[in-house]
Amino acid sequence: MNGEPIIELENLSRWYGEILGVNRINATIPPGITGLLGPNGAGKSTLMNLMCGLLRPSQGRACVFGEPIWNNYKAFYRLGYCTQHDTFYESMTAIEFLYMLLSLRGYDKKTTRLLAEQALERVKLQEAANKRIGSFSKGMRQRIKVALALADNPDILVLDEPLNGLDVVGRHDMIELIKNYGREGRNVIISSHILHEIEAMTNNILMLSHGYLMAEGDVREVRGLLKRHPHKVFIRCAQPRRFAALLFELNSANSVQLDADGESLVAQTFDLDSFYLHLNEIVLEHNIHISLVTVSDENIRAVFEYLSESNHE
Amino acid sequence: MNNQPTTWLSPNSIRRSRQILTIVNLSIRRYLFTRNMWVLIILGGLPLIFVTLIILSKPITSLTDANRAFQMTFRIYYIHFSIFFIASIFGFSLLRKEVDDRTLHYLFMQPVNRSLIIFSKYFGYIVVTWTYLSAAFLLTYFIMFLPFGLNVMKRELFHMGRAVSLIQECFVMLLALGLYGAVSMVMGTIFKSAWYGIIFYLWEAGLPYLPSTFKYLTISQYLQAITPERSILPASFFELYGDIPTAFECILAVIIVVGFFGGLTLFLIRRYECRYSET
Repeated sequence: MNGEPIIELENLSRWYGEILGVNRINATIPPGITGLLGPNGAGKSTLMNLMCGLLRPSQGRACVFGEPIWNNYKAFYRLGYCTQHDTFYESMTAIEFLYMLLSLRGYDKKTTRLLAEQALERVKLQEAANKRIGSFSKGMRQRIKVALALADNPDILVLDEPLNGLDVVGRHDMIELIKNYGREGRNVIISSHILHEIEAMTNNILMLSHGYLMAEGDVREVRGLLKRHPHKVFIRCAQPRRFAALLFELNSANSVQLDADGESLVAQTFDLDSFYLHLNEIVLEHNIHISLVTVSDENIRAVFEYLSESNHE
Repeated sequence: MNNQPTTWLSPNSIRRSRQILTIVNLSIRRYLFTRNMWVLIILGGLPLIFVTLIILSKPITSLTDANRAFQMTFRIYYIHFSIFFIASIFGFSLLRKEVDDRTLHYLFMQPVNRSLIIFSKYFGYIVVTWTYLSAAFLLTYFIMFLPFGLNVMKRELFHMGRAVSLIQECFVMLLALGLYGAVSMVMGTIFKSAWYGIIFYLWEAGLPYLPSTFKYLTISQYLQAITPERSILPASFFELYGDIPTAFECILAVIIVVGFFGGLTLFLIRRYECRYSET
């Protein structure tokens, strides 16, 4: 797959009367797995519905593989969407549900049946194939939605909070399924308000808050742009107090805080490159044994919190 | 952009046929397992029950009276009442039920033209309702005229042309279902509840009391005009309808109603959004 964006959002806005859904979003979604993040009410579902042609933009447009998606039913061959709605044709069994909706994609009977069965196997619902959806648990209902979305291996899989209602094992299986789908060279856009779940799947993010796009791109690059917030470096070493004193002498460390466990510390710095340089010098010069060095806020949660603070100011 | 990436997809015509059949099948399933089906069963089956009770309690001895009663049943009960409500309930729910059940996105996310979706659902509604109503109607005729004996029935049907009239009357029912269904389908696309139906029914039922010009603005005026066996009923019955439209006027009216409401539905469907939270 080349690097051309799979989805382009051009000045995309959507209002519900006076209520803002999303406003003036300009973004491109690259190939691979992209996380769409934001708290409840941020506009994630609105944005996904716009991307999948279920809502008409109030302004701007959403393009999938270069073509506007609104009222472009032919583009749906390449899209699979798992919505947030927990509604089905309740009287149908799982296999009937998949079979009927897959039939609408134009496959012959044999292929449709095969795709439906394979989809159920992928989400581990093969044993419930002949059970009515009305009798399914919340987790099973969630899995059948995902099964429908990925049944015929669309180029773009859009998943709106697919981990809702799943237990711990189910969440792990779903995350692995999504990662494998991405490894197959396909594209996934997944939304969640639970940051560490997205982090387990991708570093490429779009962050929304109150209908506005706060950040897009690799989470580390986004973090690097947040110059107002010093980086937090976690260090586990043999002599943390002595090490903290030595760090204070560096111009690149703004503050150092000892951790409660007595074996580690957290240093804050605006200039990460200089900090690492000086860190190496200290370790070599004073022969201090270090077992772990990691940037503790180059993650989605920290970035999101920083951006939320900036947005409120 | 190539929007059909796999080699499993069938040629366009076969694919489209398959899609239509799937949606028709889905629509039929949706009707068969809902409370609306009871409306169809009861409204369509009432004449059958009445006729059976009449036959059992006080059989009609005169063939002329029987024909007259059957015609009145068709013109008044079927055309002016039951078909209207059946079409209103089913036609209104064609799109509205998908919205209320929050399943519309399953259809709109498929690579199927929305016009094809709504056409297929409409066709499914016609298939279910017309099949049942025609069967109930013909069974009603059979029960009503069975006391006269099979020979009389055969003479009525095949020598007196009654069989052709029955087929024509089934066609009139089909037309009525189609016309009222088209109007209801548009209403279901626009409105959340079927309150409009009360006003529409008062308009259609009030046909005999409308000025002659306004009678031409009702669907039932044209349905009455194309219903056969007018001679069976007394002339005074038709005075209520005023001037009966010609065949050409009836055809024109059908084209206008179907064209207008069908076109309006297609226009609305193309712009329709899946916004369940506001329904």
